[in-house]
Amino acid sequence: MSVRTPPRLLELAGRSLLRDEALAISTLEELPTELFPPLFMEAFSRKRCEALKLMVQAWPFLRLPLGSLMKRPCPETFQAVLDGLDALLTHGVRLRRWKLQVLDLQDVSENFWMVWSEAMARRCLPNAMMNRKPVQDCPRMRGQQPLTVFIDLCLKNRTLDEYFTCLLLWVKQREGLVHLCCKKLKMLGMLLHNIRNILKTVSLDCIQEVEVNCNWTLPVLAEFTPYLGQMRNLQKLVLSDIDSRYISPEQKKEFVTQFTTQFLKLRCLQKLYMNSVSFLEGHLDQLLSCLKTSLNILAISNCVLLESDLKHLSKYPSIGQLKTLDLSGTRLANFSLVPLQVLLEKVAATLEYLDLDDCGIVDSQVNAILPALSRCFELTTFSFRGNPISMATLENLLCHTIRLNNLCLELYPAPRESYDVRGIVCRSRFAQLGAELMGRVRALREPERILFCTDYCPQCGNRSLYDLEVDRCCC
Amino acid sequence: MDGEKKTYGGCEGPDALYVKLILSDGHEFIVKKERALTSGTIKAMLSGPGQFAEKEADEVHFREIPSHVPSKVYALCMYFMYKVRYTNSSTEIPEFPVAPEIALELLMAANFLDC
Repeated sequence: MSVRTPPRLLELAGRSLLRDEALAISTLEELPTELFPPLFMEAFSRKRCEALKLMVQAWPFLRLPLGSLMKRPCPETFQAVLDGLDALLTHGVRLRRWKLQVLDLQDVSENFWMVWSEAMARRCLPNAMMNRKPVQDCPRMRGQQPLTVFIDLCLKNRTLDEYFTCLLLWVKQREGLVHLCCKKLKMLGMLLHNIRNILKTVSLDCIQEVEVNCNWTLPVLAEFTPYLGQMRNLQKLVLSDIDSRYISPEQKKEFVTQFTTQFLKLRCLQKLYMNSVSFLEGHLDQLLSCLKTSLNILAISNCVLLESDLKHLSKYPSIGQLKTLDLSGTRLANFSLVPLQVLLEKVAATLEYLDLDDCGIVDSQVNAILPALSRCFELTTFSFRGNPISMATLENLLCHTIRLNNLCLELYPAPRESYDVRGIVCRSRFAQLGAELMGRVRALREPERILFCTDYCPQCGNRSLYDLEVDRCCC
Repeated sequence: MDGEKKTYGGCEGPDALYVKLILSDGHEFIVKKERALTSGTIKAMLSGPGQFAEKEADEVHFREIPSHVPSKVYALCMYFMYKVRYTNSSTEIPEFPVAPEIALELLMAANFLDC
């Protein structure tokens, strides 16, 4: 039988108070500020809608972080909260202590509710208040609209769920009173037609992060671009799986121009991720020339590039201060890697993360990047798996990492000699070579974490690793 | 056991079985220490530095809590017993009743006492 713990008296007393909603409501005026969070949690979990409505009106804090309570949104309780807000917004009801300006529907890791409980327990209110993360802010909060609603939008179904639909309708009907502030927008499956309605309701210049991963074609992306251009404060853009097949070269050029020119307006962009974006081939120059800010992160993964595209990488000041460069899965076989060497030299003082996994880089290409690589003193993570290089080249590569004292994680390919003529890894050979390589590295420096990894197993899809011992495939 | 006097342990010394709770209006309540430690606040007050060096008696002063609501104090003591009885118990835990008329006072006391 399981061992249980009796509920806290705080919970029991709150529950008793809320059983009689009229009594609970009559006590709100005298309820100490610090008791609002636990009582609100109790009312929310037990669906005491009338009490909730009044508690929203009497809420004594600037922000009501409802998002972290709404693991599974309940329409009734959510509506009760909106009704409480309505009483404040439309009827001008203000209880003595009303301070509420922000309804926070984000699911943030900082848990206001637990922090208040702990602060009460430690009786260190002033310290707890100082150590908390600063409240989410938005310049528009100081404008005409008395209430700001913070929300992160993740649109993965074809249509909006009931909760979002209710919220958006409620906001639309209170235009001028409510500012809907969305900082993070993920579009993972919704039709653009439905997304458009949402984009018309949120303030686009509040959006800081956007992810597009809906298998859009290039023409659909081009329809989205006017909205992208209005996201003046965008800091992070993630673009995945954009299909540009079945489009003529002229149309492709026009769509790409429409898309890339929007970047001229994105003066806050710091992180750009493009994964499996087929239109970049032959057009990387066009994109890079429109970047007006200095990027921290540039990821061009699983894309097809021309050799001329690679040459453009080192040309632009916008990628002269990268902290992360990720070219994984983008084939660089048969390219001269001199442009990559030039780029690495430019970013040597800032680069912390370099991922060149599965780029198809061969022995003859590696030497081109070694001098610059050896000067990337800020590098903490270097990943080079899936490149078919020999033992000798790998040893040479390792020698060039001697002075990279900040390396915490290094991932290298199993040398070519680990495989038989059919391309199948020979485990004993891999183990032997892994041990040799580990010995070589240890003779040069003390690595923090270093792994040698085989190609993906065709059956189980995993790589085998050599760390201190050979890991095995699941198959 | 006729003729035997029932004796209780005192509130003094590190092995005291009882602790004295002194409320703001001077009323004193002697409670078994094990049960009083249900309250995180009382626990912290009794285990603070210098507690045993400075005092021999386990006494806790509550300058914020008056005793003018006797039912509240009684309910608190009953809760301490309930918590000790059913903590780490494999038996069914009954609901602890809280009368609505003292719910707010008890809520505030529970918040202060961290229990």
